[in-house]
Amino acid sequence: MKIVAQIRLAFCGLLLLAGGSAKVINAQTQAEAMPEKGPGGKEARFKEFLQRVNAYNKLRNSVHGGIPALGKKATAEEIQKHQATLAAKIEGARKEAQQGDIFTPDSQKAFRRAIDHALSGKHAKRIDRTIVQGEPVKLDLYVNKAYPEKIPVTTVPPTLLQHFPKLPKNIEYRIVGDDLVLEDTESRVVIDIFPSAFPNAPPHT
Amino acid sequence: MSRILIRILFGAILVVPAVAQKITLPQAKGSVRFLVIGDFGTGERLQYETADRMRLAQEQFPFDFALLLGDNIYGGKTPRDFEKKFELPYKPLLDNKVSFYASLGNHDIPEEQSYKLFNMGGRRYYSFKKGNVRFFALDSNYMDPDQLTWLTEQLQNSTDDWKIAFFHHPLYSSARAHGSSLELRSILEPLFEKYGVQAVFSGHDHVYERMTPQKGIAYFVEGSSGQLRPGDIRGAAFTAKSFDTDCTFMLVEIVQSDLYFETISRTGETVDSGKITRTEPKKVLVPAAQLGQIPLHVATRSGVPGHPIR
Repeated sequence: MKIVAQIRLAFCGLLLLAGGSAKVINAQTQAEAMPEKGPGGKEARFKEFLQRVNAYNKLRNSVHGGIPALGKKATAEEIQKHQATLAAKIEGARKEAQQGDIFTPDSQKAFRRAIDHALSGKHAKRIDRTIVQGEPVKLDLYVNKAYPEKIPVTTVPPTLLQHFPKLPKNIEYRIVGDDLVLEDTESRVVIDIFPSAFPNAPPHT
Repeated sequence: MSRILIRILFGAILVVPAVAQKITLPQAKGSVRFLVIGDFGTGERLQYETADRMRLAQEQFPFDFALLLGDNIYGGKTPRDFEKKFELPYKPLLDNKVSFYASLGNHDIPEEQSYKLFNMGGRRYYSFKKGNVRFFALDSNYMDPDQLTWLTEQLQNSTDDWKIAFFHHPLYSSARAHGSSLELRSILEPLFEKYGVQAVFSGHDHVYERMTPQKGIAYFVEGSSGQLRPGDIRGAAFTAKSFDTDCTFMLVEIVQSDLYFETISRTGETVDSGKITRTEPKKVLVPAAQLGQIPLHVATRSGVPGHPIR
């Protein structure tokens, strides 16, 4: 009996070791799949996207400089006027803007990969639930037009934000229906739309 | 001793059956006193009636400031909307120099961070100090890595006795409409636990709910200060007290190591109250890494944890 027990113990030990190794390998594989830096890293994968975002930002900052800054203690009238003026200036400066200017086909591939990676991980259910709890909405948005003030914003899952490239101040990601949207938060102008970025998005209101 | 309160507003007569209200908070000299409201900015009857009850409460319990848990302005965001959904209902409080500190909900627009009466200083997340308390206003719509880095640094550097966080989406809620934000919980709760946040206030679900302390942290949902989802509470193992049949607001008073709370309905009924005691950290014997793990006790004046005092 003692020998049998020792064999069982040794077998369990081997299993534990094998499991431990598998976990390490798995973690390494995931890290290799979505590295942050270096060739093939996040910076490289989203290089084109970030270049185009930065070009937009440069343009919006140039028109922003031409209007009075909104103070930190503004009235509702000042907020509305500032938003409308900035939106008009940006819309005017981007008259030729089209869907896909920033979310180019290559950028869409990079985002799709990041989304698939996040949604296939152990937090997939939580990410889905975050979107559902954030009161998902479906509406028709147009590039270079303002996001409607009456429509709530859906929470962008924090896990996704960790996988996406960092944006300049005043630009945020939005999830609208199954689309991924870039919004200028100060003017509420929709900068670009990646349609069907979330093909399995939760039901919306 | 009930009386009828009649207010004329936008041509409508609001009739609120009122019970005689007696605030039971200690009102100690030098204490930190504040109001907590969430999901209120509708501009409709329930908001105005609940706001009027706040005015009456402030006459008895003079609080200096208010925490806004998001959904501050529903729907349109014109100057008229700001007036109808915020400035008019809370005019008596604003006239009494009550400062409102806002966090953003999913129905808010980012530009609200620049609105002077929300005191956000042009930031979507920020902190401020009152007495021995540090408050952390977070933007739970968009919890990006930058905000998490900021929060970690702020918590690390805070030497205040009390650390209180407030934001829109609740980490714990048993309401049917939304419920607990599990992803947010998995990210924020370890930080709160590590750095000794003692109390967290959220909204989003249009009910009132108090949880039993989770990992030493007291959680409250106050999302019914203007909106209401009657019967929405399911109740969970973590539910200590809940109320979903009328709009409510919270009054809070911090007296040194004790945080007293009283939750009052639109009609003036006290629906929950109690005390949270913060145990003093042992300054010499406890390693710095453990200082954040402060034991927390929630007691009601009946002496039975998890049951309201009436």
